Amino acid sequence: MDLEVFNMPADFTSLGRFSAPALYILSSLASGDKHGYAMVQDIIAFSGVRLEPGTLYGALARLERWGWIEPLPARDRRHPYRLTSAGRTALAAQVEHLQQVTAISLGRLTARGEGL
Amino acid sequence: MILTMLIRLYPRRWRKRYEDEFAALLEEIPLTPLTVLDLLLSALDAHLNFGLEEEGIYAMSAQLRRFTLSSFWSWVVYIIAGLGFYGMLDDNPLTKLAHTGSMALHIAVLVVQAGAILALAAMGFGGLLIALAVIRQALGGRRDVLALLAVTPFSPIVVVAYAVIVIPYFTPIFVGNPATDYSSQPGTMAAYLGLIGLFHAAILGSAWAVASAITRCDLGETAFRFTRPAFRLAAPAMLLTLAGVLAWGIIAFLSFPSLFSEALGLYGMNTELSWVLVVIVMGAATAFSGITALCGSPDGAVPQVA
Repeated sequence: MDLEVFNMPADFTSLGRFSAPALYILSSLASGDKHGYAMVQDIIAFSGVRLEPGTLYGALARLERWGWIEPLPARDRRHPYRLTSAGRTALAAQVEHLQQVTAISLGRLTARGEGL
Repeated sequence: MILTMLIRLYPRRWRKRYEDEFAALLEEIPLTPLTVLDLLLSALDAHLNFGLEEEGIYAMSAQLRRFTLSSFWSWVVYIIAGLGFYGMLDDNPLTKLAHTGSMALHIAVLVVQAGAILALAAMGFGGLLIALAVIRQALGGRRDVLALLAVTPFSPIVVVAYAVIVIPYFTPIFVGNPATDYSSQPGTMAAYLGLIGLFHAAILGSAWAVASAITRCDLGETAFRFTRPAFRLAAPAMLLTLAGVLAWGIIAFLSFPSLFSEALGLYGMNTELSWVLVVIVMGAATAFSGITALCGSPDGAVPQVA
């Protein structure tokens, strides 16, 4: 199937409202495999953001479909997830993009004498 | 118990994959109103994006079809609310004021009409290739599809036949005697309610038949070429109509409170209550259409990461 025909997504922005949750999830998994609840706790710890369960699984399902994460064998009823190499590449690209935006924003604020 | 009910809102295929781990997560977090709202929206999202997904292969045409049908049903409910609004305006002195004494009311009605025309154009344009493909298959030997498509022209015939044959039997208003107090005639109210019920059943039946025909047909992505962008425009058009209806009611309430409270609304209700009902139904349809436009567009295949 030619993905271009259907205007398929190519980056985080294509995730729409799930782009921010996806970034948190990939960042969380970058430090090791985790199941849903562990991800929620980890994301609260490093960002202060509490992902609601529906939003979490809406993003997880998309990331799994895209091949950016993969489920591991279930422990009890929980499926841990692992960041794939494609997911690591996508996360790195997004972080680099955010760094550029942050640097530009900071530079503009500093130039106007409104530095942090 | 509540958790089970909430999880059951998700499509079967989604539950087959995620139910156990999702339930385990829900058991570990507090169930707040915000969480419940998130679950409701997420369940809708899952229906729009995962309900028809095939094992291992993302079924784009299935998702387009689901997006199309969700938008279509939103529009049908919006049309019912819109017909209610126009039924409310019929023989209402506020309508005469909109033409003669109140520019604000007139503008509000124009906004309603503009929104309705835009929504109709968006749905018509977006559904054009689908309609042609469905008709082609119906004429090409698909008798089940042909029978379903026949429901749409057949429905208004039934309503008109009922109005012409049954109603005059019970009520004199249809036979040219407006002075008669028809509400006191035996059977009149039942006949009138029957007409209302039949009218709504005809609309919903026609919509169901069209939706079923689309579901049954073997439609490729080509048929949905214009659907996504056009149907996405229908949501703001519906919002424009809703804004017009809201403005009309607020202007009427503030400027002509005595007329607004008269029993000149739908089915003998006063105009106020009729307006509130129309706003609620149209608002729900518009909200669903907006959610569908935002959540239900295909976005789910493997992206190419640089």
